[in-house]
Amino acid sequence: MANPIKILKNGIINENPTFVQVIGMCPTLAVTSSAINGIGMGLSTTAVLIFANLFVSLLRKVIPDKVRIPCFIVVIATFVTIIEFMLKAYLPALNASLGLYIPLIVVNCIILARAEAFASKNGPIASVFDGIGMGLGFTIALGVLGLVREFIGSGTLFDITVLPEAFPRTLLFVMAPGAFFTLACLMAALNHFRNKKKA
Amino acid sequence: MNTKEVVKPAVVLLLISAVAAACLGAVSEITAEPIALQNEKTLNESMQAVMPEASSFEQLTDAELTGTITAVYQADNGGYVLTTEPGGFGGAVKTMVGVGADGVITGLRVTGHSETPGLGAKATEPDFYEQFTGKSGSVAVTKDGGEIVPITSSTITSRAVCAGAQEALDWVAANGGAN
Repeated sequence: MANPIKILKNGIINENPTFVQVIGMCPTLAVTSSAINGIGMGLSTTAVLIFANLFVSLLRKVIPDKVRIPCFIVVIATFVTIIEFMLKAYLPALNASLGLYIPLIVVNCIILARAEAFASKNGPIASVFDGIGMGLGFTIALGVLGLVREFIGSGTLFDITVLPEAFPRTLLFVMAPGAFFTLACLMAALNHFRNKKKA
Repeated sequence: MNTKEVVKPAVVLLLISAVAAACLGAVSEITAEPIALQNEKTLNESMQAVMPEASSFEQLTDAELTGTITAVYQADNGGYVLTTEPGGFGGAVKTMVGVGADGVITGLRVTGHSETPGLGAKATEPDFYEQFTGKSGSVAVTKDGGEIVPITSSTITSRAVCAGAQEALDWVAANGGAN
């Protein structure tokens, strides 16, 4: 079994789902209009990712190869729905801010990708760590995107005003095009540092 | 073709789906009541926000729903809470309006919308919605000769909320005395 720390680092840095693998772009671009939205989406995805990875890994020897994708989808959708019910029933405050994104997690391809590429080939403990690492990598990416967009677009950080009122806000950044601009700039900066390190 | 190759995957998929369905059924059963309670509580809280003086509300199921009005609730102090969905810039702007028995708005909240973030979305901020409290007769944005100061660069959203408030006022003026 691979080193858990290595698996964590792999998810957060080396194979960061957003900046390196460039998967799960739909929620990444859509929900990062503020830092809190990005982190909320990231953390709910992490929760689903951990459970889905664990169960796919436990069932990996039972699931026949031919029907593995439908089986993975059933497992993922079941967890998402259970989490949605639980949030609605017992944590209404959290549901009010995250409720919108929970059903979106089913269609997030990061979860299916990790089930297929990692959990179906590795043991349950390694799979849980992979879920945590990938989830955190996704959360950090979404949080940073949200932070930048919120700061430039609304002049606030976590809903607290930081830019003086007189400073003009670039509203474009909280709209859809701003998501693309911010993601492109962050990715270019990261690639620059990575190339420099290699050279 | 080997029947085993076909039957085994099908049976496994069926079993996994059956277990998943059973789990979902159980969770749904357990959470149905708390969810209903939470929904009711949320609705009650938002109605209390637009009509602070009332303590209980009852939906008028036989009310005539004019325009974009979606529901009418009678408050225990004789006032009404109406939910309307006037068309905004990005779709329906769900607006909840409290109107007292005297035809004066006791409060207004935008409860759901898909307006532009940073622009029309500011309709959910107190600076905007508190302007409606105490208004009666007709409400309109300053551009249309009214008193409501619209959100900067979001006249369409501001007009939509005014339209919702107006529909609520008109409904109470037309039907309020009958109950």
